Amino acid sequence: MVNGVSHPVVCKPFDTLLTVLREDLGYFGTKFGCGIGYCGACTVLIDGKSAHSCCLIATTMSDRKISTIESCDDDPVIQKIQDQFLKEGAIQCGYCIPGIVMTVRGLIEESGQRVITEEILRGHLDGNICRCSGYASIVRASLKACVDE
Amino acid sequence: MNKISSEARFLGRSLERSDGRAKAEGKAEYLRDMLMPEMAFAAVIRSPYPRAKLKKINKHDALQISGVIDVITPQEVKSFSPVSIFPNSPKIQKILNDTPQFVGDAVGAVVAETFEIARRVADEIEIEFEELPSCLSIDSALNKEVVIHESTSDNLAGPVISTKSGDFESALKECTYIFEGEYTTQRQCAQTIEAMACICDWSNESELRVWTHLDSMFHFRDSLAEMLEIEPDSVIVEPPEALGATFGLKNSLIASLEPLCAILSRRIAKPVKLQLTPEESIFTTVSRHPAKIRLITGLDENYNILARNAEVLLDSGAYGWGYVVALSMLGKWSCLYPCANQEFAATSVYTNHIPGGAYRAVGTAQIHFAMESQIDEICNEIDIDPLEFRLKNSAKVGDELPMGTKIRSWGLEECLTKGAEAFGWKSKNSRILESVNPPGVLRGVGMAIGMHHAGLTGLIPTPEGSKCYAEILEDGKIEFRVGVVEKGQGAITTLEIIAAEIIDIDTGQIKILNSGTSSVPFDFSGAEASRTTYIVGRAVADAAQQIKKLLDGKEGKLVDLAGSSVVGEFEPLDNDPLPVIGAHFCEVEIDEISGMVYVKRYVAAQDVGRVINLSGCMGQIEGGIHHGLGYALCEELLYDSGFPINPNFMGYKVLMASDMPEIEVVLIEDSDPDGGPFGAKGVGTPVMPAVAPAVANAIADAVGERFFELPITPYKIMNVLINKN
Ligand code: FES
Ligand code: FES
Repeated sequence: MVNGVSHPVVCKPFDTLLTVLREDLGYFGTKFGCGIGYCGACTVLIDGKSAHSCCLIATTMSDRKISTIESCDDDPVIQKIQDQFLKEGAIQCGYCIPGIVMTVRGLIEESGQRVITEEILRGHLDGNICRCSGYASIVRASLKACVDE
Repeated sequence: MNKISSEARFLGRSLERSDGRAKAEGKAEYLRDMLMPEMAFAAVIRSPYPRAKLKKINKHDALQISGVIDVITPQEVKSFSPVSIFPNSPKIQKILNDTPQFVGDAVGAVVAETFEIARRVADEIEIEFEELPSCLSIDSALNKEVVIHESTSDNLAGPVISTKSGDFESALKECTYIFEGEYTTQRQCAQTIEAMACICDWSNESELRVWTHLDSMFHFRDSLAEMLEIEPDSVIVEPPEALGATFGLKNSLIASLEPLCAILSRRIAKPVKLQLTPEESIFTTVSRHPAKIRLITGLDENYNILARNAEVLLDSGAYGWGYVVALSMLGKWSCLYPCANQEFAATSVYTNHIPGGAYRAVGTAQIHFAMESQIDEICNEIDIDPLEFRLKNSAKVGDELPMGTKIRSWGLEECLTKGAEAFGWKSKNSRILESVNPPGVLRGVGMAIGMHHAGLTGLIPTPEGSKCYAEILEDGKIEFRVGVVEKGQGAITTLEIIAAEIIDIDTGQIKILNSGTSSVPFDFSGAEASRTTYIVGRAVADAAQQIKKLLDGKEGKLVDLAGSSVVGEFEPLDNDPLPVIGAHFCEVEIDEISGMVYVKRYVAAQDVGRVINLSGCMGQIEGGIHHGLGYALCEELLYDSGFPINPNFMGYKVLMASDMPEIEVVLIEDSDPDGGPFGAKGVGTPVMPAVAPAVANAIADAVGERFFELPITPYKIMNVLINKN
């Protein structure tokens, strides 16, 4: 189930979730960066938790709820994160941004009522590389989005 | 912090970038996402040896594999003459090489219906090489043990630079204090998250269309036309909707990318996409030129600098252009600490490694590590505060740049004093006494200044000016067409603000168009060398002023003036590029058990001339510090006997969010009336040079020993700590 819609897909046994999302289902918002689980450009939510879709085998995902950046139209929390990123000027080349937005979305979901400190946030972002921003504006924007929640 | 003049409507504030929402929502189309009807996919066949002779490729069998459309070898492109990839460099660049010169050099390509098939066949094709002796160090290149390119028998990548003023030798004899040191810097990679790729459509013989990662459309168009031996006008280069950054990596084209892809497209008369894997994007493109720098500095008894000497050796890899890198070094080294007697010599050689290329702060990153480390050493030895020393001895307004331009605007003193204030740098010694080291932790503080340039005047022989076509549209919006590339740095937003501020109109009324070489005015260097704000900005400003005159104070007249157009122009009159300066301060903690360096605090005071877009400006500075800290601490593409050993995201470590310190940016606005619009300078690259030395100086302060080689890894620190105890 991707963004609330279930998609029957025929794929090769070892196709990654990322490949299926992009190439079979056309969710190009999820980016291909390193392909080996280090950059986080491919981050999606699996049952609410953020994960690197390049390291997941698509065939194991059949009964999981997957959300990609394209779910932002129906998710006010994602929209709030995006708004803060825009306001803070956290988006430069933007290639890492969909992945980072999903990571922050996952953190907000996971933390529930707990306060998200800068340290927790930075730790959580350690699966995402941004080569443009030095993370500073991303951290500022994300903290604002977390506080609002 | 930054002063925002009260009458400015947009300047110095943060404007949301117009491409931001599409990127945040994942809707912006990057090269990786671009598909075209009938598109075929290509993958490059690469050399597994540092240097070899291609003996045989079994093209016939590969062509039988289902899905394979075409296979190309050096044989098919041998009619093209080699070209020089960057102005002033030797003509050695071929599209495919039957004598590959580094691991990853292109010897052929496969075109197939899918990328997977192309990649697999390129990897598995039956191929035979004869391994040749290789040249893997600057020394062996200088000894000519192996001649890498037939046309350059001495292995020199461009002319040797040797300049002098005054009499260094005799002045040195007068010196009371003499400092000498040799500094080594590494191969650093731009490591963009989006791997390099390009799409070429040459299905129609009279027109080649190209979409690629790039820093400048026209530089690309002209190089591509030269390489393919066709007219520049028949090539149309278009930037994709969004680019996953370049950081200068694509200042020049890569022969095995765009030219190769174009030829493949012509052969099969279909659009072809050549997508590099993330690994290829690292080890087969270009890296920062590694350098060995030997510096001698002599001072008299009053600590005035009397004599300076720099000897630089650069490793250009297989096809780099160290000559221009050395020119850039010379420009900063020779004027940052003015001295009557100085000598500079630089030699750049080829080796069988990844080619050297452009990357944020070409040359300046290397020379500053050496120069600013040595200044720090001098200050330690003679016991002077490094801040005081720089205030006294560094360049001032009116000093001359290497090609004779006098420095007009130079916020160095303000950067030093305001930066020091923000950091709490009193005198270095008093600060250290205040801080008590927790057990097992070594603490230190360091500072450095960094100078870079905006624009390329005098560095390359091509015209530096820029043009802008502006037109009032039917709906009253004003369109400005410029030859600049938006690679993530925020060029478009900056130019929008400049135009809106001058015309005094809402930014929503301004459209900046940079859609491709067929529809924008010629601008050779585009968004290279932090020149957008300064040079393209001035052309836009000129056009905006003319529009303002047309309007004559009546914004309402816009629709009536629909169809009116003007041409804005700017040609820098200086002989040198615009100098830009900053002063950086940092505090580190080093774990004595592991040698890990934690940068705790970082203050960067940058003279940007005038802030145009506040959030964009901050983003460039904070991002530059990220690249600089990586250069100082961990980033290095490592080679073992000519084989890259860490060419992927796992092996090539860049800093993550938790590795980054708290950064404070101090914006200094020492505006240059003859610089960019409103006195603005440049910001993207000039941040880089001060970072590594500031960190190295803080580490030296903490450990009590100096490190002469970048990156300063925990391993190197532990070696020193173990020897000390
Ligand atoms: S593409 Fe999945 S982590 Fe980099
Ligand atoms: S915005 Fe470019 S990588 Fe993050």
